[in-house]
Amino acid sequence: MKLLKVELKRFWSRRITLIAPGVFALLLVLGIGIAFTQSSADPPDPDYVPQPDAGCVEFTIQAREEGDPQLANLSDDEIRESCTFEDNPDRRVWVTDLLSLTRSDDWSEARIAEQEFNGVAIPGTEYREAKRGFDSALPGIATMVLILAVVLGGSFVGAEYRAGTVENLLLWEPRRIKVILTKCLSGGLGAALVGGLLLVFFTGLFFLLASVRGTLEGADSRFVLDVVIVIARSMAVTALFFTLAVAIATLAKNTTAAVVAVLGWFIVSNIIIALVAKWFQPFELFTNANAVIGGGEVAKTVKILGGSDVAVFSHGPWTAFAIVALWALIPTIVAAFVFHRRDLT
Amino acid sequence: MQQPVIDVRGLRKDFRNGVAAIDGLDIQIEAGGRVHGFLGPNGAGKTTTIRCLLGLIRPSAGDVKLFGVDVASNLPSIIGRIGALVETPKFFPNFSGRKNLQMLADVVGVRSVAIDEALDTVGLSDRSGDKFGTYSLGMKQRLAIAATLLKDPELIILDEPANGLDPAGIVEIRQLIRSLGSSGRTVFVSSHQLGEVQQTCDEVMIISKGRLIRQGPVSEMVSLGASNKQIVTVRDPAQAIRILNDAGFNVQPVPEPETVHVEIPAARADEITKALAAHQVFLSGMRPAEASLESVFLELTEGQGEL
Ligand SMILES: Nc1ncnc2c1ncn2[C@@H]1O[C@H](COP(=O)(O)OP(=O)(O)OP(=O)(O)O)[C@@H](O)[C@H]1O
Ligand SMILES: [Mg+2]
Repeated sequence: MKLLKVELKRFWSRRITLIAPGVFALLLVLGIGIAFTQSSADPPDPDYVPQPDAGCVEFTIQAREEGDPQLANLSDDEIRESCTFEDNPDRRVWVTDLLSLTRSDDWSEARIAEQEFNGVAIPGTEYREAKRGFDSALPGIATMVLILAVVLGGSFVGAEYRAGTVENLLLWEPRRIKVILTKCLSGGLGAALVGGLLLVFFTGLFFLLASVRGTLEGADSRFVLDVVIVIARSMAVTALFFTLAVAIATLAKNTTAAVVAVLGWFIVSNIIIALVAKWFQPFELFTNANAVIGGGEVAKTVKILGGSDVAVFSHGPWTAFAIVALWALIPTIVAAFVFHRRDLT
Repeated sequence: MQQPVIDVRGLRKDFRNGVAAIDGLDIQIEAGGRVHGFLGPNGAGKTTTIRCLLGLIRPSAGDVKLFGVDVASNLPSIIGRIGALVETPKFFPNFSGRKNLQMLADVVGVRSVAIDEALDTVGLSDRSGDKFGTYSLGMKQRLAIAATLLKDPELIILDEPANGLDPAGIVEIRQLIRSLGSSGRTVFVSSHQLGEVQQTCDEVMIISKGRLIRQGPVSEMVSLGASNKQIVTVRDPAQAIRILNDAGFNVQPVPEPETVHVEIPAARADEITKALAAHQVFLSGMRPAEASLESVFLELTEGQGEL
C-alpha cells in the first residue's frame, strides 16, 4: 500500500506525465481548430431540399427486383425515402461525428450456402458478419491515447533503469514481484486517468464546436451514454497498454524498446499478418483494442465458394477485452519472472 | 554466543561472461559497534560481494546470512535494519534531493524528521530542494549516504563512500563512519583507499580476485607491514646514494628532492649516519617510513591484483 502510494506520487510528479498529455491536448486543439476553420459559419440553407441518393436508389431497386426478401414489400417511394440522407450543404460540424452510431442490429448475415470439394458441392457453414463498433473521431483519438500510455509506461520504468534507482528501491522493498506489479498498477491507474481526461477534454471541445458551428442534433441521452461508455472502455484498455509497456521496458531495461516495439507493431502488424498469418488477425492487439473501445465485434476471414475471402464474426467485445488483457498480462508475467531472477549490477 | 551480523560462507559468483568475480569467500562479522574495512584492488569483487549481501545479485554458490537470516529467502524481514550505498549514488535526476529521500522513506514509512536529520548529518540541508541532477559528485555521494541513514539501521554497508568527496568531505565522512561505529552500529565499508581504512576501521579484510587473503585488526595489519625503510634527507642525494651503495646499503633513489630511501631496520639507522659522516656528508634529517596498510596491501596483493 505504501509502495503503491509512492509510485502513484512518482507517476504524477514526472515531467512527462504533464508534458506528453499536454502536447497531445495541444494537437487535439489544433485538429479541432482546423475543423473549425473548415466548417462554414453560414446558417443552414433554408431552401435546401434533401435529395435521394441516386446510386442508392438504383442499387436498392435492383436488389428488390432480384428478390431480396427484406426489400420485397418496399415501394419505390419508400426506397427513395430511405435513400435520402441528412446531408447538409454546409460543412457544418455534427456532434454525432464523434461517434458513428452503428446500432447493434445493423449486422447482416453472410451465408455460405455450399462449398465445392473435388467438384462435389457440400453443405456450407452459416456465418454472420462482425458487427462494426463505433469508429470515428472519439475511438480514433482513443487509439492515439493508447500510444501515449505506452510512452508513459515505457518511460516510467525506463527512467528507473537509466538512473539506476531500481537498485535503490530494492534496498527498501526487496520483494521484486510486488515492486513490478505495483508499478503496473499505480501507473496503469494514472495512465487510465490521464487518457480519460484527454478524451473528456476532446469530447468537450467537440461538443463546443458543434454547438457553435454545427448541430447537437442526435446528442440525446443515449448518445451521451454511448460516449461515456466509449471513454470508460478506453480507460480500461489504456491501463492494459501501460502495463504492456512496463513489461517490455522491464525486460529491455529501457524506454525506447517499449515504444518502438508497440508503435512498430501498430504500424507493421497488419502487413505482416496479411502476408504471413491471416488466421492471426482476430487475435491482433490493436484489432481487439479497437473492438473493446468501439464496442464492436472482431472479424475473421473465411474463404467462401469461389475462393474469395469474407470477413465474418469471430468474437465479441468481451472476448476482445480478454485478448487485450492477455497481450498485457503474458509479457507482464514474463517480465516479473525475469525481474525476480535478474542480477542488478 | 552472539549471532554474526554478516555471515557469508563459500560465496561464489560467476557472471555469465565467465568472470568468476567471487571465488569462495567467507566473511563473519560479529555484532557490536565496530567498523569493518573491506579492502581490495579494483575488480577484486568488493561491489559484487556487497550486491550479494543485499540480494541484488544471486550468488552462484554459498550462503549469505545477515542477522542470522538467509538473504536469498528472507531478506524482506531484515531489510529494515540495513542501510546501504552500492557503488554510485542512484537517484532520479529531475527530483530534488529531498524528494528522492522522501520517496524511499515513504516506502517503509520513515518519519520526515529522519530526512531532515539525515540531510543535516551529511551537510546537505540547504541544497536539499535542488534537483539531484544539478548536484556535484560529492553532493550526490552525500545524498546517498544520507539515504543509508534514514532507516536508523543497525548494519550500514558503504561501498567506497569517500568517492568524489573533497578533503574536507572525506574528513567529515570519516568522522561520520567512526561515530556510527561508536553508536553501536556495525559498519561495513569497502574501499581501495588504504589510508581511509586505516583511519576509520577497527578490523580489515583484504580481498583480491574474489578471495579473502587476510583478515584481522587494523593495528595487527599495520604491524605486519612495519617497514624497514628509512627516509633520509641530504643536500646532495646523488652523492649520498654513491657513498651508501659503496658501503653496501640497499638504496633507492626517489623523485622527491633531497631524499633517499634506505632499506635497513630502524634499530640500525645509525649505520647510515656513520657511513655518510665518514665522507663528510651530513644528513639534515632521517625518519622511518611509516608503517602503512598500503605496504601490507601491496605486499599481499602483489601479483594478484592485475587482471
Ligand atoms: N555485471 C557484470 N558482468 C560481468 N562481470 C562483472 C559484472 N560486474 C562485475 N563484474 C566483474 O567482476 C569482477 C569484480 O567486480 P567488482 O565490481 O565487484 O569489483 P570491485 O572490487 O568493486 O572493484 P572497484 O574497486 O573497481 O569498484 C570484475 O572483474 C568485474 O569485471
Ligand atoms: Mg566497486
